[in-house]
Amino acid sequence: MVRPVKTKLYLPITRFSHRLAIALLAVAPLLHGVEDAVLSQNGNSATLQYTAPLFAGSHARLEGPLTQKEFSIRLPEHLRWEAGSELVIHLRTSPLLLGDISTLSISLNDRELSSVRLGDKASERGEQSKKTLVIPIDATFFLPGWNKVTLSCLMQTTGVPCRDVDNPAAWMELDPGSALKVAYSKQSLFPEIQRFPEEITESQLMSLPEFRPVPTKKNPEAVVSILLPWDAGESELRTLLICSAKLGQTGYISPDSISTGDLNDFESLSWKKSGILIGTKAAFQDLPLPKEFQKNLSQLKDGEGYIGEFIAGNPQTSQGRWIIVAGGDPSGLEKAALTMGSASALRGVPSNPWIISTAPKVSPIEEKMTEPSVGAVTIESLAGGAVTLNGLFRSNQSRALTLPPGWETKSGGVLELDLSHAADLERTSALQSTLNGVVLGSVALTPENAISAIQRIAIPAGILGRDPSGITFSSYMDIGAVDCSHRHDERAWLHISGKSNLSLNVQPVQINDLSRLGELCLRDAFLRDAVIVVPEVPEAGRNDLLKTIGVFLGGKIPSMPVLWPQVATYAPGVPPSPERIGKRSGLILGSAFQWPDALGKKLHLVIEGMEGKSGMISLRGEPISSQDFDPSLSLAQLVPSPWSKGGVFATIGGLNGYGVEGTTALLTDPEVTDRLNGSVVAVDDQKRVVTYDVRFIQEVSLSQQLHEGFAGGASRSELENKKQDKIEAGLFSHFINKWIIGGTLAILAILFLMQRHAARRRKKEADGREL
Amino acid sequence: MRNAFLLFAATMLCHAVSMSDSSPEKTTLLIYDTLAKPFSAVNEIEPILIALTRFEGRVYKKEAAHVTQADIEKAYRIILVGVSGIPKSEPSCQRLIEKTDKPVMGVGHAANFGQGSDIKSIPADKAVVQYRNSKWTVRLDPFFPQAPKGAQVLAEAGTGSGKKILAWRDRNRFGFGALPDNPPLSMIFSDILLDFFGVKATAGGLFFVLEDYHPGSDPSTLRRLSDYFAFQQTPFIVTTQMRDVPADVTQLMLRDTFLDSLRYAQMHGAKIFLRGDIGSQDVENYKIDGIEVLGAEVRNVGWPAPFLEPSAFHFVLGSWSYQPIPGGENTTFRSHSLLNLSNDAVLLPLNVPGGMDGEADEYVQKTIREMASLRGSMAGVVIPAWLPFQKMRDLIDGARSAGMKVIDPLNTPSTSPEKETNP
Repeated sequence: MVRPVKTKLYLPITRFSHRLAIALLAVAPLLHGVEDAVLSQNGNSATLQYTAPLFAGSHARLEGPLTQKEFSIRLPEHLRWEAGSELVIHLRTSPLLLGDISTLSISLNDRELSSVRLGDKASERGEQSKKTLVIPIDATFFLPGWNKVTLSCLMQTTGVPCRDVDNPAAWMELDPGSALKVAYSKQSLFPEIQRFPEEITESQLMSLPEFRPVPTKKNPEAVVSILLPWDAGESELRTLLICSAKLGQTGYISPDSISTGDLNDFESLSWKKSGILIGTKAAFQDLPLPKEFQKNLSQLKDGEGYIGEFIAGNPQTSQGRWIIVAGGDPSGLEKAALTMGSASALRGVPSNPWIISTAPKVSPIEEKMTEPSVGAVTIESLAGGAVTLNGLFRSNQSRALTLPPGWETKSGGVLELDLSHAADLERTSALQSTLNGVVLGSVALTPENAISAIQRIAIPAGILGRDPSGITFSSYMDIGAVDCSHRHDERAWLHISGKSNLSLNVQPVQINDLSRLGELCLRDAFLRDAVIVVPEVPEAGRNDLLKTIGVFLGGKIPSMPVLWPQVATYAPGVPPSPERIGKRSGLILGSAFQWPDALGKKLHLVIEGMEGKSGMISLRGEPISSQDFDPSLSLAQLVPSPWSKGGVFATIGGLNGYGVEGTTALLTDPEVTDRLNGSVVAVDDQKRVVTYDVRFIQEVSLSQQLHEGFAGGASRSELENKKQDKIEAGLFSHFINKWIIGGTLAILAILFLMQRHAARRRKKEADGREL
Repeated sequence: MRNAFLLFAATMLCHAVSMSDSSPEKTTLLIYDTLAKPFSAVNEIEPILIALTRFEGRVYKKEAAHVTQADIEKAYRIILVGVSGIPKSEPSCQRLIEKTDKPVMGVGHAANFGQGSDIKSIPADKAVVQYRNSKWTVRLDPFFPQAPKGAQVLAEAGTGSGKKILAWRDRNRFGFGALPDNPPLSMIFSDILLDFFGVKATAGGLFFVLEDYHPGSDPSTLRRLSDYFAFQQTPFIVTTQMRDVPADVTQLMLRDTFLDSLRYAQMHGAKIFLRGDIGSQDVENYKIDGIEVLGAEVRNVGWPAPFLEPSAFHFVLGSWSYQPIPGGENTTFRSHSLLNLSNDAVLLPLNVPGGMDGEADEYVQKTIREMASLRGSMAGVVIPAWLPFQKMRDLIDGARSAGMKVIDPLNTPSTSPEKETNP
């Protein structure tokens, strides 16, 4: 149950307000560093402008005679759109485009902005045509949240009807600088906890890392600070992890955009950015909080949680939004943390601040989201229903289905398509189906299967569940010679009946090697089966690493309403609490020397620091000095849970610390994660990866493998080549072995037959003699 | 002089016949002339009746030819309205009106109680009316700018031919030289009625109504709006219904989501009103779902529409609508104040419609500023539920900046006759 607290909802910070006022005037321009222009100034309200590039990277390309490209841009909701916005498009087109026929139409949120002709006189001279379009946009065209800029092109190179989607001469490229320039004015903030985490992160939308200028790309300024006491315990760390995971769900916030720090930093940060304050009531005693909040916090009872939000700063200059997640004691704090992790609980927030006496529960409807669709699911039962693909050349449609993380397909599943299509499609026409990005199969669209033909496609095993999961139907439909300037969409169609069905055969995700390291914590889509085990002693990097893992996990399950991962701490002689470990799987952070403290001395790890031998680590029992290795090395190994049957853990960390950079790469960097396998893996700061599998007999020892893998001067590509050579050599020897074994068996069989033949002859001869 | 003028006015009133079974007891009697135009009753008389319900739930109207002495004796106040001409009743009735100490007001043709035998309308297309230090540009047609000598001028109209008297007062005799069928004339008339009824203190202010929140609306917008109002500690009204979702809505939210959002709004200060056809079962159903329905929004009261039928709600929200042509389109009469209905319910006015563009916001502010200069004005700002949140916020901020105090409309005392002090 909850106990609403009556309050004035908003109180300015008084204790340091004078200092703040002076400071704010000085730093106001820094707070929205991305705004690139002040368009106009009217009294206190200024119209500013920020640039939202249409794409990341060096260019965007449209190709084919008839093509369309969408650019989605998410706009923050705490700003007011003003007159003066514009869409700037820098484009280059193929010199072969015919100026009289080729066109480009631009729309924003399905409202036409402009149409222009492509190709010009320069094209006639065989030069690339360059254009810059500046299109004014009315403020009413913008939508809160996602906005869609659509470029539709007709690019013809000859006067005769075209039909080839892959004509290399029909192209247009957008150059850097193509952007939506959004005119806005700031509005005063107001508390709206129910909109967490968007309310606190959306200013990041104005300065996404991939769109930043290169020099500042690596060091983006954090927009959210999570502050907790220096002696944070399990409850505080769990709150940090849950809040980070929620922030990660936004999809656009990177770990670098979130800083962690000490609660005492609040006074200096409150006017600079927004953040989350975590702690039990004692931790807030000396913080300069609004009086009403201070009073409520001090009156918290044991077992009570507390969530409150206040706005610091001045609306005319800059403001910070701060959320207090607190508890009368650690158990109360966890109630608040669980509430922060539950979207439905936050949607029902009755007051600000909010005192929570009972932890929220997962509703049966929410629980359904963690379970996969089983049995035959008809397409018509999925949102969107039957699929009709309509249009020349390439088009696709997706349907969402429930195959959450923690599950994977196993053999026996089948996709049964009841499809009809235009009878006069060219022979190149085909339909392809993919499940979660994995190709299931293709069907050629021929006259024979044009009318209500049933096509069965087997679903392979091992397709991982994800959030969101979906089945995609992509078609390529060609109807022969077509005048592209007059679309004949209605002649190219394909219909997948709603009666078509998808029969999924699923099982809980199997984690046998480190290639699925990222799935370890995702065995439950609400992260309830995930635990991060960390050293109790606060060390540099611990909280940052927890935050990064949280953001990573949240990003993997963006639509899940509940995120409740667990955190347990350990220290020498103090193993993690069984209640927190439970039947969970997860990660054990810390250095190789700390892992045995978490797992217990009885469990001998493949890699572990040797007790009593300073600086020596054991690699499969072989003592090696840690100084023999690069200090930037991060190691991970898969171990069965010593606490529960079926649980799996990965110890992950450096030789002498958390190995933050390597650990982060092992968990989040696709460049590294795509190369993981085996039961032991090591990565260095150059992202060189060495894997080892103790389940099979290996040619070399683990230490030798590591030494060879990280030998000085060996580049990543060399290592990859070496690895490839090894694999090829392995495959060759496997091939030879097969022939040797096969040959041997054949010889033995022949010898056996010869022996039997000889025996029969001898017997016949003997019988003859008897006769 | 005064007696002579009253005598003349009384002679104009002729034979009186009771219009309804119930006679006016200690209440206001509206006497009007024989109407020459087909829809004058609706176009000219109804608006005056509606304005009078600011003070009384039940007002009686009678054609002058049918008024009896008993009617005049029982009436507490008398309003003479001349639409086509001067209202003429029996000489006895006229004498009674002449002698009475009761407050009497002349409106339109009867503005000067018939003083002078050939009063003529002097219409003015763009007259600048000055009243209580505010100015409005209005069309005055008809306009009878006569007033007895020595009368206190309440409102003046600047016309091409100079300043003329629009409204005057001579102790408990009042005159209003035009027909107050629409704002701002109806607002000025209503304000003068405060003196006519002797009401000394009235409370008024600004309130916000999120109109027509239905399952096709955006629940996140309602939540943000609730947060915004809660931050400003401003109570507000949400009118809602589940039955009549517009045909162009493509996505409906789940019932639980809809109710969750309403509960959230309620927790943050929203007063939930039902909209459209409402039965008592509806109220019960909402109650079961944890939503307390406090009132109803009523549109299209029908013709004739002087009073609502008995209602389960004490608070009714709406514009006062009537149909100039029976069965035709409803025309909205926008009251600028709270009105007392015959069934003891209170009508909260929806009189400031918000819109989508900036011009509409400017109109909202102008309307509120006009209302703010009058006593006891209530500005009910309508926020269409389909507006994006930013537009809602612009509308709210603009309305708040217009200089009117924000109030809780459900805790505002009505301007009832019990509180009056007759001169």
